[in-house]
Parts: sequence; C-alpha cells; structure tokens
Amino acid sequence: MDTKRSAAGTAEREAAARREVAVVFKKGALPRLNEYVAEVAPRGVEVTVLVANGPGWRKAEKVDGRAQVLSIGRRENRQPGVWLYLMAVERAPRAVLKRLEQRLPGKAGRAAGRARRIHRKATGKLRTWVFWPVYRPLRPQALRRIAGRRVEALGLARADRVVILDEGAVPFGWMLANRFPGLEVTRTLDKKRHEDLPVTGPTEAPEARDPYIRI
Amino acid sequence: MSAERPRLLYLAYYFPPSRASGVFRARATANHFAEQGWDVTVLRAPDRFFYDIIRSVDEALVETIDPRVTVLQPEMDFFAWENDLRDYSFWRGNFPVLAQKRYQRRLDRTFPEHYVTWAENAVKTGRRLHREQPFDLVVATGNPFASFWAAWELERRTKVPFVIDYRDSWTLDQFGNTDKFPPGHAAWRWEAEIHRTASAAVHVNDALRAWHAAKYPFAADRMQVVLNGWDPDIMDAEAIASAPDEARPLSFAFIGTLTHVQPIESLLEGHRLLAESGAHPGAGLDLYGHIGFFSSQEMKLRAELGLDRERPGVAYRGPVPKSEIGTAYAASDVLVFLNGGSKYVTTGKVFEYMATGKPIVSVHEKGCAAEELLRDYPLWFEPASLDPADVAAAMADAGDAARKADPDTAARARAYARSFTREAALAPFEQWARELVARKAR
Repeated sequence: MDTKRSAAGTAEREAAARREVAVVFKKGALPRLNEYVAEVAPRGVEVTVLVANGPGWRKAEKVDGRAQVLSIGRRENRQPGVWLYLMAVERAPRAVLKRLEQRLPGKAGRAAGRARRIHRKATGKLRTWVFWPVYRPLRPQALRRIAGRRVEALGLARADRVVILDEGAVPFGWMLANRFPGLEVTRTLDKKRHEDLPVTGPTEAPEARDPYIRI
Repeated sequence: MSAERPRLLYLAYYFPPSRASGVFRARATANHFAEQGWDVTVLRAPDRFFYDIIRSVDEALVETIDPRVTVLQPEMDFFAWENDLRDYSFWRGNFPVLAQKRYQRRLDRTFPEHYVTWAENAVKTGRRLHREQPFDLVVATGNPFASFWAAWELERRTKVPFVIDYRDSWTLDQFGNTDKFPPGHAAWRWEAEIHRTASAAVHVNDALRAWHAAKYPFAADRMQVVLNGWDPDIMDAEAIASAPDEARPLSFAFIGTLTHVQPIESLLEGHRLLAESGAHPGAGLDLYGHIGFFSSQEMKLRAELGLDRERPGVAYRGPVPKSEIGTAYAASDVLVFLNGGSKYVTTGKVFEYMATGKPIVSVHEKGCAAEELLRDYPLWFEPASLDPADVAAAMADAGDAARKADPDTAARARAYARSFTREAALAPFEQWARELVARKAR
C-alpha cells in the first residue's frame, strides 16, 4: 500500500472535515480575521463568518473572499430603537435637505445645501457622543437576540469550533457555549491547529464578496 | 534576624516549571540563598498559567530546585487570559463591556498590570507566612513588575525591607532605547514610588543601572549590578569537547530563543555566502531552541524569520530541555551569538557560550552590552558589520579557529568563563543582603 498517498488522503479528508465559524460584531476585529483566513483557507479549512455590519460599518474592511459571510447587519438596523434614531435624526432630515438643495433655486437652495452640510457634521457628532455611548453597552445583548434566532444558518452541527473575535459578540458566544455543550467556543484564533494540513488551495485572496449573505 | 537562618521571601512569578528565559536567574537566586543558609520561600505563578495559558514549560527544571526551597503558588484572576467562553461567569458572558470596564477600574486603582491579582494574593500569602514566622527580606524579580508592587505593599504592611531585581527594564524599551510608556502613565509614578522605599534595585548590567540612576537620582546610591551567569549544575562545561570531529563538516550553532529582534537574515545570508565561498565545505547552521517565548507566536514568527522554507545547510533542531543543553553544545563547533543588540541587553546565553570554550561569532548590532564581556574572551569573532559578507568572513575565521583547536586557547577561554558562574555573580549580593538583614536586626 502506498502509505504516502494514504497519509495525504487522510489529511485531505481531515481538511474537508474542518470547518470553523467566526463571529465579528465590531469592525476593528476584521484585519485579525482576514489574516487568519488567509492562513487557514489555503489549507482547506472552511471558514464561515457572521458579521453584524450595521451602523458604523460603512468604512469597514471587507472580509476575505475565501470565507462565506453571513450578515445580520440589516436586522440590526431594523431594530426599533436603532431604526427610529437613524430615520429621525439622520436619514429623513438628510433626504429632505438634499431634495431642497436640488429643487430650490438660488439663495434658498444654497441655504439648504449649507444646512445639509451642517446636518451631516452634527449627525457625526451625535453618533459619537449620543448614539454610541447609549447603544454600545446594549448592542451585545441586542445582537445576541438577533443572531440567536438564526443559529441554524450557521450550520453549527458541522462546525469544529466557534471563534468569538470581539467583546460585542461575547453574549452570543456565551449563549452558544451553554446551548451546545459539545461545541468549542473560544476567543482565540489559533492558526497552529491547522499547521499539520498542507497548503492545497490558492494563497491569493479572491475578490471580497459584498453584499454578504443576509440571514 | 530570625534565629540563625535568615528568612527570605522571593517573589518570582516566572519560576520552574516555566521555561521563560528569566527563570534561570530566579532559580539560581533561590538556590544560592538556600545554599548559603537562608530559609527561602518562593511565590510563583500558578501551574495553570504555565500549562494552560502560555504553555511554556520545562519540567526538568523543577528537579534543579534546591529541596530546601519552599515554593508556593498564590492564585490569580485569569480574566485577561480566559479564552474559553464556557469559563466565563454569567456576568462576563452577558455584560462583557461592563465586566471589562470593572476589571480595568480594578487595575487602575491598584497597579497597571494584568498580573496584579497574583500580586494581591502574593501579599496575602506573604503576610500570613510572616505572621507565622517573620521574614527578614523580600526580593521581587520582574517582569512582571506587579511583583515589585507586592514587595512594596508587603513592606508598607510588615516593614520587611525589600529589594527589586530588574531582569528586564520596566519603563525603558531596551531595544529601541525609548520610553515604553507615555508621559503621565501610572507605571512612571509606581516605579518612582517603589524606588523611594526599596532597600536596593538590582540590574543585570551597568548600562541599565546607569539609566535608572539618571532617572531616579534619589535612589542611585541604592542601585547595584548583579550580572547573569552560567549554571555549572545544569551544564557540565568540562565535559564539552572543544575540538571538532575532523571527519565531519563544521556545525555552526545558535542555541537560545529565536525572536523577531534578532538579525537572523544576516546570519542566514552569511551562512549561505560561507557555503558558496567553500571556506568550510558542508558547514551546517543548526538552530536550537524555541521560536518566540510563547507557543502562540511560533507560527507567525517562523514565517517572519524566514524559517518556514527550506534553506540548504540550515536545520531547525527544535527546543532542547535545559538538562540536555550540554548535548547541543557538544554537537556544535562554533557558536553564533545572535542577539537583538542593545547596550541594555546582555542575555544570559552569552555566559553559557563562553563556558564551552568554543569559538563565538557575534551577529548583532555594535554596542550590545554583551560585547563588554566577550571582549576578553580569546575566541570571540566579531564581524565588521551585519552585512552578510562580513558575517560570512567572521564565520570563516571562527571556523578556522575551531579546526585549529588550540588547547591552550580553549583552556584560557574556559578559565575566563569560570569567573562568570551564577555563584560568582550572586555571592556579593547575598553577602550584601545578609549585612542588610543584620543591620536591620540591630
């Protein structure tokens, strides 16, 4: 029997069996995640990423294209409190002022343009000093509820472990750890776990998939 | 002084079974004081930290601790290191932001290091032991510097004098020669405060002592240097043959921990040029030791150091337990002293290298603290620069010296190294500590 081929076959089967779910609710964790995906994806490890790309993710780094990305961003934006804030403070006034700027002639149009710019600056400040200080401590629990209703989409039965990349995702991870006693739920991205697998896939990252799959 | 055996409480977070580079100084200090008749109690990190958190252990080292030394493990909070969400409490699992804030407030209130919970428990343990039988002296070694805080706190509560032993600097970046903390950071305040009350601050070389003396002039007269050294009980230097086997190609070897601050590319390129020149046909470069201080860094560092790809003649031989370090030295013909190169960094390895009596090639920036020690070593080869061609030339010269194998030169080299044993380094400090304790008792 060709033992080399047999060993390679075992490694491939193992690689096919390896699947991890990463949970990222804060965009700051994305560079770390992408570095990890770039390391393990060529070794055949399948990575599914759950992101909450709601408010504040406009300028976020894209997730590496080799990972499957599921998003609850829209669900987050549709929460009554968040939706009301965004609509009443940001979107509606912005839309009205934009339209006025385009439609009103002369001085009135210019005044509307000025008002739109002032509004844009003010909403930025309000987000930083009012919206986030209130929403930040509540967000992990809000996202736990949203993600908790969509656990099936993550295919946890086929996952070896779940990696929680940021503090915002901890309540969701803690809930998973308690709901699925056999599932490993950790904060560590451990590349060494897959060091034994040979690099079989392309090392160049394909274009990032965006928009992500909404669940 | 308590009866005829003075009592020492030694706060050494990294202590065997840890394999961190600093444990050898801590191990030697505890053993030396016990040997000199002190009743030594060591407080170290809990096993869980070494086995589960940093996974950096060499159990053979535990056997080298003097049986008269009592070793205790105060507990600690693993908040900063807990990664398995099943270990999280209900509070942390549901309110991670608030839990983090509360934890941070606790650090801000006491001492700005994650190890402070260990230090708090070390203080409790120290006070309990002191009530049972008083200590005469507390020695704290850092890092972590929370052990300095524990010694300071113990002095405040029990009036037992304390000494701080800097294995590394706290507020100075030794490699970058810059401040580690921004102005106003709590570390500055704590370092000054601790210097005010410490009976002495001990440093591993004079450059570090001078830097601290300039920073804290009010404590300058209480600062002293205790060099690192090599451990004859771990490495039998006399048993290591210095003449290479004529039948095989030379082995150039680095023995130690590989880190990102070392100019490894100069070494690897230098070795390649040496092989191309044909000066020492087939000469190999063997790298012994761990890659990085923590197992979690290994893979990243391996790629950063360029060790993830095959290089002709270069072999990464992996870590060697300290008890078998003599085997690695015996298998090497020329030792490569690869170092981050800073006037503040001596490294303990240089003493071991000298003890072998083998040729040593330096691969580090000029001005490294170890140069002071190597200058009088008769088999030291220093390249003109870190340019690979210069490194290759120095390696070739060192290879020639190894092949020549002059027994007189090797004997002179060993004789020089004998003045750098741990005992030789620690003896004056132990004597000073004994006098301090006697003075306080009067």
